[in-house]
Amino acid sequence: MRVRAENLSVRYGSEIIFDGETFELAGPGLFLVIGPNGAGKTTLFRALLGLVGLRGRVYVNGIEVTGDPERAGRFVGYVPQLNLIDPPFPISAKELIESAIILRKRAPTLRLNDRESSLLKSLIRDLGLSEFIEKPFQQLSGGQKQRVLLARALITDPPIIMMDEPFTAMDPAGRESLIRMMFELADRKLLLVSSHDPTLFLQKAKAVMALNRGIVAMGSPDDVLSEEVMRRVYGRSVVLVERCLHVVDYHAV
Amino acid sequence: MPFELFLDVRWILVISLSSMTFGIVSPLVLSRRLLFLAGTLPHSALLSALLAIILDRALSIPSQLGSLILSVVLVAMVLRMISRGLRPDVATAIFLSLTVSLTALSLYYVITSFPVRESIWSYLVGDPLLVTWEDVSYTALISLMVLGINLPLLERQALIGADRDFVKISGVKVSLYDLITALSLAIATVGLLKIIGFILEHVMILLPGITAASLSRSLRGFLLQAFIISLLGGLGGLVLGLLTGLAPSGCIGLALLSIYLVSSLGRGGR
Ligand SMILES: Nc1ncnc2c1ncn2[C@@H]1O[C@H](COP(=O)(O)OP(=O)(O)OP(=O)(O)O)[C@@H](O)[C@H]1O
Ligand SMILES: [Mg+2]
Repeated sequence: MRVRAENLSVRYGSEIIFDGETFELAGPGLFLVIGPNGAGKTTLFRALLGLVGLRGRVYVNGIEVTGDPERAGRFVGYVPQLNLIDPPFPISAKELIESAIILRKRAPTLRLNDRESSLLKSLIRDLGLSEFIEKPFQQLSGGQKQRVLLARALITDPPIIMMDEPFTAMDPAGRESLIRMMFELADRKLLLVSSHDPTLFLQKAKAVMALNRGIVAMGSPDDVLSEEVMRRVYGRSVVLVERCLHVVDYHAV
Repeated sequence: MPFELFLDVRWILVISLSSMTFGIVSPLVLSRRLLFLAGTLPHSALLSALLAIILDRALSIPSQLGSLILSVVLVAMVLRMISRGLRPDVATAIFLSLTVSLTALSLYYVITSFPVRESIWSYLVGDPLLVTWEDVSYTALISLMVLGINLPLLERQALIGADRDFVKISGVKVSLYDLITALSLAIATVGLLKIIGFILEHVMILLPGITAASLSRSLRGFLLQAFIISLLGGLGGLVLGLLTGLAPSGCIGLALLSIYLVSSLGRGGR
């Protein structure tokens, strides 16, 4: 499983977010995307999925998916940034998860088959959703919502998963179980995860991509998470506490 | 004298058909985040109907066809302003200024220039009690078209409103659904204008969806309840109007409002 971008350029109006970036991620494994607010993390995910206008080419598993969300979506499960999802009408957590399957079906078969139902059941168990699975999504806590969005991405069992700040709104216990689950998934799948708290992943990440309006650095965690690179990415927010690197991203709090 | 209520089957038909249609138009507007259109759609429908009367006289284009085309053009115009990056409230303001002015001009022109063959009155307040069988068939055509196309797609439409990106990567041609939405809204609002009227349309677009959204806990429940509420309000209002001798369209509005109030009281008590 591979994600490859060639000469990727994205701009909003006159604002240049990416300017001719080329990179390749070869899975399975966990890939980390870091960068301050507005660096372009969400834009990168949306560009790879064909959801924003771009120049250049994007390949998933060798197949060109540039600007074609339908094709990209065959390989990629997407967990969008939590604050971007706010349905204007009631929808139960279960309906939202099932929608990933139902949207791919053609009328009139708009129900899950047996295999899909049992997959849903195991996700409900693994992610601990049973308490609130029938509740409206709007009424869930941030961490519960996050788990529902993750289940929605996993239920189609895609080989590649992109998660945009999945730890937002999660309590320490939630983070820990999510990390355990991600490490497990990373053995079989390509995980591309953005986060404001890179220390959570350090041991497991195959590579780290540091963004700040373009890729500032990319490589092994040790190389990228150096003080020098971090200063280029985060500027003055980097503080050294007893020779241990911390990124204090005030915006993310 | 025993209590008697005369109900013409034509009244029941046009009200049922129209309120079922608004029973899906209303949740469609809400779920696709188009609530700002609730204030503009009746205006574009009224203007289309008036211009169509003029076109009918001047160029003998049948007004029923002309009004549908004009309505589609006007709705496309306001949606295009927004897709070009204008904020919905700004687009609404510009669009309303245009339609209201043109409506005033064409209303004056139609009333003064033509002996009133078309009942302008019914376009304003709606008049289900004066319908002919021809009106019934036209209403049925419009309603069944809008219902037939939208019922099977309604759940997907709502999901687009919930998370457009996700629906796209799930392989759905979202732009096609946008087009269907625009066409359906344009056709329903002008096609049912004579029955429902300009004034009541504002309410029929808003209330069933809003009430159902406040009552339900799931997408399926929301869609089903909006449909039932709209139908109940329509038929209840018709009966209420006949019993009291008041204008049915006003009574339908009050019936829908009562359903909303009762449901919100019910929620408060829970
Ligand atoms: N649809 C859009 N139209 C115009 N500008 C946009 C749009 N989406 C994002 N931007 C701009 O692009 C830049 C990158 O945004 P992006 O959402 O990718 O950042 P991010 O790294 O995900 O930030 P955060 O940590 O806050 O989620 C920001 O300056 C933002 O204002
Ligand atoms: Mg983001």
